[in-house]
Amino acid sequence: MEVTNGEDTMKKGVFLKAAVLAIVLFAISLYVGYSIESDSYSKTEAKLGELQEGVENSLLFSMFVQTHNDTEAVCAVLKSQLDETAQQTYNLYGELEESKSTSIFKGYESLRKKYFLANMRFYLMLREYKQACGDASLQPILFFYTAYNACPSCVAQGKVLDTVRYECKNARVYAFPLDAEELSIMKSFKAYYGISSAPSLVVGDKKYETLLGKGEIKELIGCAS
Amino acid sequence: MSLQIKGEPRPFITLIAIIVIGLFIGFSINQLGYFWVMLIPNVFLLILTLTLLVAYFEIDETKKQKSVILPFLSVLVPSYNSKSTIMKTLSSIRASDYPGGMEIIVIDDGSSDGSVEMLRKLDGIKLLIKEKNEGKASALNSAIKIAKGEVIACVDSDSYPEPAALKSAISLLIQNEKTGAVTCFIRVNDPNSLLKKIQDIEYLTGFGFSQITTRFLDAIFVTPGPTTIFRKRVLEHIGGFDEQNITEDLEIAWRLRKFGYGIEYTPNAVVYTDVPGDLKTLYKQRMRWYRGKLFNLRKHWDMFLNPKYGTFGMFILPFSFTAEFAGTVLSFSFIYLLFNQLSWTIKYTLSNLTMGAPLVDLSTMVVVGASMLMVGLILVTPWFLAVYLSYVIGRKKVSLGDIPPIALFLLFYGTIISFFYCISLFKEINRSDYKWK
Repeated sequence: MEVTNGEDTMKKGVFLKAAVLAIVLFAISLYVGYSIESDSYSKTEAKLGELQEGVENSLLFSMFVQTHNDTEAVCAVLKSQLDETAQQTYNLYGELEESKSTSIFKGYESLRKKYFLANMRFYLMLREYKQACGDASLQPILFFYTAYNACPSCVAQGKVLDTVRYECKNARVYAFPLDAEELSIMKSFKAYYGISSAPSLVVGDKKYETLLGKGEIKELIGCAS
Repeated sequence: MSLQIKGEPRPFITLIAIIVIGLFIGFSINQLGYFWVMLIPNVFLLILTLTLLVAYFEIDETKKQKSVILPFLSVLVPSYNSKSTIMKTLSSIRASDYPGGMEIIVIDDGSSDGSVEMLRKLDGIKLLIKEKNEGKASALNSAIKIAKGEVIACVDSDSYPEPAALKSAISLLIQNEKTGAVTCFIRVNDPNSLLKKIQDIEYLTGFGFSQITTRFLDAIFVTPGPTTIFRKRVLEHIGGFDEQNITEDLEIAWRLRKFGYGIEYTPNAVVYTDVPGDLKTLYKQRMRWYRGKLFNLRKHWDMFLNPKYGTFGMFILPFSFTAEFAGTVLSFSFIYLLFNQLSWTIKYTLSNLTMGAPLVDLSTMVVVGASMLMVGLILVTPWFLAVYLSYVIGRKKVSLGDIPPIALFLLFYGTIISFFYCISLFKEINRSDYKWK
């Protein structure tokens, strides 16, 4: 194969075609990447929506408990609801943080804010449930963390909490992104527990700003090994 | 005396340059994210690759060459301590199917490995002995003076032309009076290790695909050292090789262009050459190549973005230096990411240690999302195509065994080369000494 000289006009055509191809290819790659991320974002958003529906549902039940005398029946339903949503809520924490750390197009701040609020409501409901239904067995653990890539010890603490949740049926972990967009309720919440750094845990209304191992947490919530 | 680049080192300026570039890239990563910072240089390289791909498909293969009478040829073989390879080189040259007649001139450049004694015993070669090692360019210039041929083939003493190579290249050279040189298709000799196999792919793309397409654009960048054919009168007109240059093969290509001579290429002239078998030797070779490129950019700065030199000055020359830019950005980004990930992993492990949890958990190592992966894969497709076309040009079939080196070439080799580019840039800024024998 021998090569022949190209005309100048032809060469200009080469650059033009290459420029168009580069733009098209770049646009396709960004579009595909954006679509993949949008899909993942929508799924996370939908899961969060389900959680928020669960919150509303549980809130109504909670009000029902307070206004009716059939406490026993309502408490049983409420407990099963809290159990179900607790699982969903905590799973969403990992998904949200992982997506945030590898995202190139989407900001996850709005979802993290919503997640914080949903968790807050669940936590308050659990407290209400415990009070109204007189159930002292469930042990809430508040876990304050910051973004995955900024806080490796938060990831490590989160993994320990995964194990605790798996091994202790009475443990209810509520995760709160400390670095989520500031909300007045978040400020009050942090101030109430005196949280200033991540990771921090609140177990039995007592704050722990150090890392807690599995054994220590289990001991604090009265979970037998 | 061997060829040396000597200068007053500038460690303070170099340190400042490293700090400023490092801070700038670190700041950019913090603001934009490492994905976008690493994407920017790759976009430049993508544009270059796409241009060459479009050029490839524009090449007209139908034009026939005129039949010509081949002139007498002088083959110059500079040799420095090449006892282990030169006999094979000379055998390859002698086995050439070249009907025009030839002389072989071996220039010993002050060897100390006993190769001179070996060469003295050989019949049919002219041996030019230099008492001191003065470098390849000086050796070639000495031989040009005594060469009888109208055409000169410069062949490295570790390179082996195929029997038809010289005939193919010279047939092309004499088609056009304005053609000063013809470059050959340089291939890796005996790629018997992974590193050599990767370089084999690099040479296929660099001396196959890139040469054929830059030839179409009339912008050949280099007349490769392993073998290039020149017209003797052209070499004399431009003043021979630059003896103070560590990449004389690059410099002469640019100077030919300055004097208005064309450079041709034919993939039919295949020449095999020995390549580095280990990273240390590869590093040394690449330091010479990349520093030589930067050195020559300074020397021929007037060609940069100069429309007088057409596609070469306006496109190929500026875009070839995106490799340095890309290399620097990618190297700093990799270092930044490496330190970031390392410090993250240490903190994570220490946290686990404090809590008595398992120390290693690979699920925490995810740093690339599906969207990043997809964007990267789409943008890398032109490179896959370029590699495939290089195989076509090299008349080589892609076998299953080629897939690992191709994957390594596309995904990791570039990273290593990026670091070499980056180091060469700072060595040039520092004016570090360079010695080449």
